[in-house]
Amino acid sequence: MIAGLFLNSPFLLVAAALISLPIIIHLINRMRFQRIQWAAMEFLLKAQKRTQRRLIIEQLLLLALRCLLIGLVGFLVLRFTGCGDNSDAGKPNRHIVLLDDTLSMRDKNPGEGAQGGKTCFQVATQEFLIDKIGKGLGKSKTNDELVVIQLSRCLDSDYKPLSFKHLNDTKEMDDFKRKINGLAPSLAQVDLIHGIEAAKKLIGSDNKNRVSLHILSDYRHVDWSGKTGEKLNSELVELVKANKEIKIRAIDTVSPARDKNQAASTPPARDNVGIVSFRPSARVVGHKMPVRFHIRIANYGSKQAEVILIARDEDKGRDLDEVDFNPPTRPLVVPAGGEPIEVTFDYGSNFRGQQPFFADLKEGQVRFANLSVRLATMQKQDLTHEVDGLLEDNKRYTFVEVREKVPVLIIDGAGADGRKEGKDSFILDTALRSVPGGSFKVVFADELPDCRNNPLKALERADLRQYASIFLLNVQGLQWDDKNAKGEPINRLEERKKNPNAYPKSRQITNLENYVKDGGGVVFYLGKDVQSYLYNEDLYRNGKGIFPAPLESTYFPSPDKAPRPIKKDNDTFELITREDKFPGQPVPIFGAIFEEAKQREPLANLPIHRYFKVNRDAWVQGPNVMELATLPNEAPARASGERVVRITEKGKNIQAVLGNEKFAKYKARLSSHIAELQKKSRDDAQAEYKGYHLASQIDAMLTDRGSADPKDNLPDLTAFWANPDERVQALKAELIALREDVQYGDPFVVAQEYPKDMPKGRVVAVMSTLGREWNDWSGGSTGSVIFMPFIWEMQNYLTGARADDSLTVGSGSTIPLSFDAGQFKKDKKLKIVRTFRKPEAGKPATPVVFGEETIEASSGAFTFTLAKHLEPGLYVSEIFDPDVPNKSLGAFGHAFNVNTLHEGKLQRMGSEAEAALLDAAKKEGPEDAVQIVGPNAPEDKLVPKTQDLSESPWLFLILLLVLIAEQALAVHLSFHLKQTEEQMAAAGARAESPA
Amino acid sequence: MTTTADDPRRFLHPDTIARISRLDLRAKQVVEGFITGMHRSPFFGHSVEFVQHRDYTPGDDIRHLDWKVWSKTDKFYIKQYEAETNLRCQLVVDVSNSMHYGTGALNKYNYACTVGACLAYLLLHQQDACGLITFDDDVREVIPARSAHTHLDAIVKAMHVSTPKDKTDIERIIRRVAENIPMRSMVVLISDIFVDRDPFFRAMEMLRHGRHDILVFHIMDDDELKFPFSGTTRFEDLEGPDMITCDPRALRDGYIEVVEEYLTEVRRGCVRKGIDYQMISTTDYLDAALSKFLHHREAMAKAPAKSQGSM
Repeated sequence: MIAGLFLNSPFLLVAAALISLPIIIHLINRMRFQRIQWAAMEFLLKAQKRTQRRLIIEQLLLLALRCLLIGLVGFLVLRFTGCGDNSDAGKPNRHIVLLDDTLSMRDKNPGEGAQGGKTCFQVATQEFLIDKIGKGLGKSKTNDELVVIQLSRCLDSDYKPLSFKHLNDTKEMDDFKRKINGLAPSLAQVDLIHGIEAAKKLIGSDNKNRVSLHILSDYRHVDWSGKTGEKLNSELVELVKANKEIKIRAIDTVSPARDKNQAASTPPARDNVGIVSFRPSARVVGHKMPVRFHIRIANYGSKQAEVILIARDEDKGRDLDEVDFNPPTRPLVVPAGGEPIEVTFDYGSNFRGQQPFFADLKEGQVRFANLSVRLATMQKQDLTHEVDGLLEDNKRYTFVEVREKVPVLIIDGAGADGRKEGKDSFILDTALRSVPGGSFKVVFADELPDCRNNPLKALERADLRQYASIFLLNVQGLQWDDKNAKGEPINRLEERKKNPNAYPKSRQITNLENYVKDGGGVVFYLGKDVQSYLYNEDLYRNGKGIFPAPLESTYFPSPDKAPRPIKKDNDTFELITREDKFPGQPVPIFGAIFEEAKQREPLANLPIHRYFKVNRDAWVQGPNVMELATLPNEAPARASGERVVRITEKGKNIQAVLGNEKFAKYKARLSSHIAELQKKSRDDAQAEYKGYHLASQIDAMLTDRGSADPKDNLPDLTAFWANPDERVQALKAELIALREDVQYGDPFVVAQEYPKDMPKGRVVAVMSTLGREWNDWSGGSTGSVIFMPFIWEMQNYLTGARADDSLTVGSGSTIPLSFDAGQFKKDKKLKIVRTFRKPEAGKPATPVVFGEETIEASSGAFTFTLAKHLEPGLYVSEIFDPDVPNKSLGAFGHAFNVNTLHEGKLQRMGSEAEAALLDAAKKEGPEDAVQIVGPNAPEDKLVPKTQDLSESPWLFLILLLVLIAEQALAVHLSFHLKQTEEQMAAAGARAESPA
Repeated sequence: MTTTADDPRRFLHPDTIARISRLDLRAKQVVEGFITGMHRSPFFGHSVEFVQHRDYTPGDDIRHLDWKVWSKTDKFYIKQYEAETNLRCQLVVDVSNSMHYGTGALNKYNYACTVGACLAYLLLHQQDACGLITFDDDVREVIPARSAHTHLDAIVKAMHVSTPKDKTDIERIIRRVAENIPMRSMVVLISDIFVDRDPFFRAMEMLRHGRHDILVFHIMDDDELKFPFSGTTRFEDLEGPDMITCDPRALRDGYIEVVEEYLTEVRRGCVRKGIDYQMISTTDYLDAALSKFLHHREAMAKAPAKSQGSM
């Protein structure tokens, strides 16, 4: 290892020079001789001849001893010069500090102690990093190294951790302190696992040093529990496995310190309330359209919090006192437990005396409304650390892209014919134009250049991103490219034969998928022209495509059969919205239309004559696929007859309930309902009861409130179903399950967030026509009244997809731009000017232009990487053509916010996670490989003092022995005169003559 | 008296000479001389003091027959006497380049000359004859042995002009020396003997063969004995192209070991050949070295049997 030190380093030269010093001195002495005219040369020659061999050996021995002496002395001082001994005994220590500087480290410790009043980050840097680890290394005698990895920056490709050496040198120590004191906690959220991976990469297979990994963090429950915790533990185990000597010190910077004797399994943590999300219902809005903003607030503390909300227009620099929050926030009580509550407010039009976002917007102009919302006390003061752990998550930013007109692309399979009165395009155009504010600009695909004969060609354009949403109406299916990249014709059937799962060679499909991936919204309305196999193969693709569900081979009823008859009973709605699938929250699209149950009445008369059935057997229904509305189950009720009898007659639960005297008063009414239920489910072909009739009957039984008049002898069955009796609840569960099964028929409105791994865009599929060809939704029925709102809310839902793409401070993103490179000449470059709307207290946000960059087209499109930003707020990237000065080609807004969902959870790691952390490493390494260290840990525990070889008494003994041997040999070889010889030397000197 | 580097009499430091003059220089062996004095001749002759009789062997000079013993015993015996005669001493001084090395006031060359001058003075003072031969790679100066007091000046002058140069070729030099000494004499070699040992000992053998009494003053610099240098040093050979760059301290032990082996070899070789040998360091006091040498000679003289027996 010494060899490794000296080879390929400047030390080679220095060491060689030092060790060869005796040889150099010897050679110099050889040159500086005295000359004597000598008579007895005969004897001298004889003596030389006789002693020559011995002399050479003795001289070489002396030389070797002196070289060794210098080597040993050099070895002693090497560690002070940065080159410690690398043998096991004197191995330098390499301390790698993973410094958690994420948002949660801004939590301020309570109390009066050493950590009291300091943020976790201050405790980490000052108490531990400087006062303990740095101080310990300052005393170290080996050549130790300290590397500090900032967690918030460890994912940066160009990030180099801070490295410090020779901390036993005052100058280096001062530099170290200066740099560490200059660090500040970020607002970012970065998983600790990335830091561990960075440390792991740094440690690699380092066996030259004794490695200590100090993880300075706040050890929150959210990081160290569940799968995240398991992953962290397994990474640490991997580290221990790869480096048996490693010492991992988990340093908890939160006060109070963990106490093994404490009764609670989790150490006390600070309360925290914060805004989890703040988003508009639509990201792209028209000039005068009101926008609903959704705010979600979570309280991660142990007691409820009372706050008020203040919305603010950052660009105008004023608080929006005129907006009404729903529910009202004076005060808003946020319950403990971490379950977010939602608050909404509308803003953006002159509705209720509000002002539009921008009064002077011109056609084609795009501007970004920059809004924020913050939590405050009842006195409109900012929350303080006294009541709130983190203050940074009390404010959140969002923006709305405001245009004079919002473009919507309509691709109608019928082309220009679709715009005839009553046809799909006509009705949709009318609906969009009737949106309050009238801010939609409808673009028909067949009116675009080169798309007249084939509207689907519009999907091959690279500028799809400009459209807020794309409607595909009764489109047969997307088309494959005629030719492949080599110019060879593509035979779709042949391709499929070769590989049934072949990805479609289609620019249309790829573009549309990229559009949705980029946050776009797509609506499919089906119709008689739709070829379901094209949808299934190209767009659904076993759940991997953008179409949310597989279709049956043809529509229902099939072309040779009559349309569905108009439902004559009132047992159920003709379209059932699926509240059951969205417990506790509104159903997308429909939730905004039907704020109250009675508003759904029009759905009772909404004749749907034909539609495409979803092939439920082949449906891969992932978490991002949502069934929003379903047709009632029209299957014969008798199909469920046996099950009804089993539940209501033979079942143990019903028998126990009916036999129980406690429920005697409900028995008659229950029996009546059961009889009705059994009657409808009986195998009676004449009765024509359908599944939804059973559901309706079950619903009636479960919601029967009876009669308040005792004479009617109609007890309140809701009280019965609310009885906690085990049998009653079991029976209720059976009935509800039965109702779910018999109530819902074929899906009618299905939505999907896409792509599935990182949803950004939204797709809605309506299984029938938009116009009146297959249904009376757009007119001719009571249900038509909700058609317009449905279109509007669907539009909001689709454009709202981009509203969720609020980026987290400290992370970046690659943004594809919807600029078709084909419209520019080859090698075209575009310029991007990036501006930060820096929020200022009490005044409008200040635009700070912080960078320009040039981008080139790649694969026919422009993309640029949005650098990560460290301050929350609105960032606008505006695209320019360098050849046309001051003409903006478009602009993109991105709101950066703190990650309250993760960082706001200040609950600390519990004893179970603690044990898991310690136990995991013990299996692979020594007992003390991983230790949890509290604020009061002694310095030695973090920086163990190691004895290197240069401190070994053996080294000094060897040095002494070599010195004695050298002196003895030197005396023996008469380099030092004996006392009796000094007089002789004086006499001899008289005979010497200078050389 | 002040001596300077150019003063030829600097080798006759009064203090040194005063100390040496109190000692008697006696030759180990009797040499032929033309001055009878306090020195005992190394040869048995017809002079003064009877020593012994020995059997007559044909060829003996019948003038030495002891007729009185013959008359009494009817056997022929030869009378032997110990004759006192003048000492002839030939100083042989090495002036090669290697002698140029030295630390302090006197390098080896200066030291050797001083020793030679002292001996010459001493000998001349005792009416002995003294000559001088200097050499490096060849004989440079030859001063015949004379006993005149004024001869000292010639010797000293000859030493002074003999500036060191070139490498010593001892065998050839000694052969020349032997040729230049017609009579049996005392030969005093003053050198650092940085020569090959075999030729050296052969040369000494050659002198011994001429029945000369040989004294060897082996002059070594203190540095050459102790090698006290430190720091990276280049040693350049004074007499050749060799050079060594080394750390002297590292070589010191090996060097000293080699030097000791060398000195032992020289000492043993000299002893084996009956040569008086004295190693003198340039840091030794001159009088101390000469006194030590003369005492040693005296001690040798007191063991005549051993000396005689060896001849």
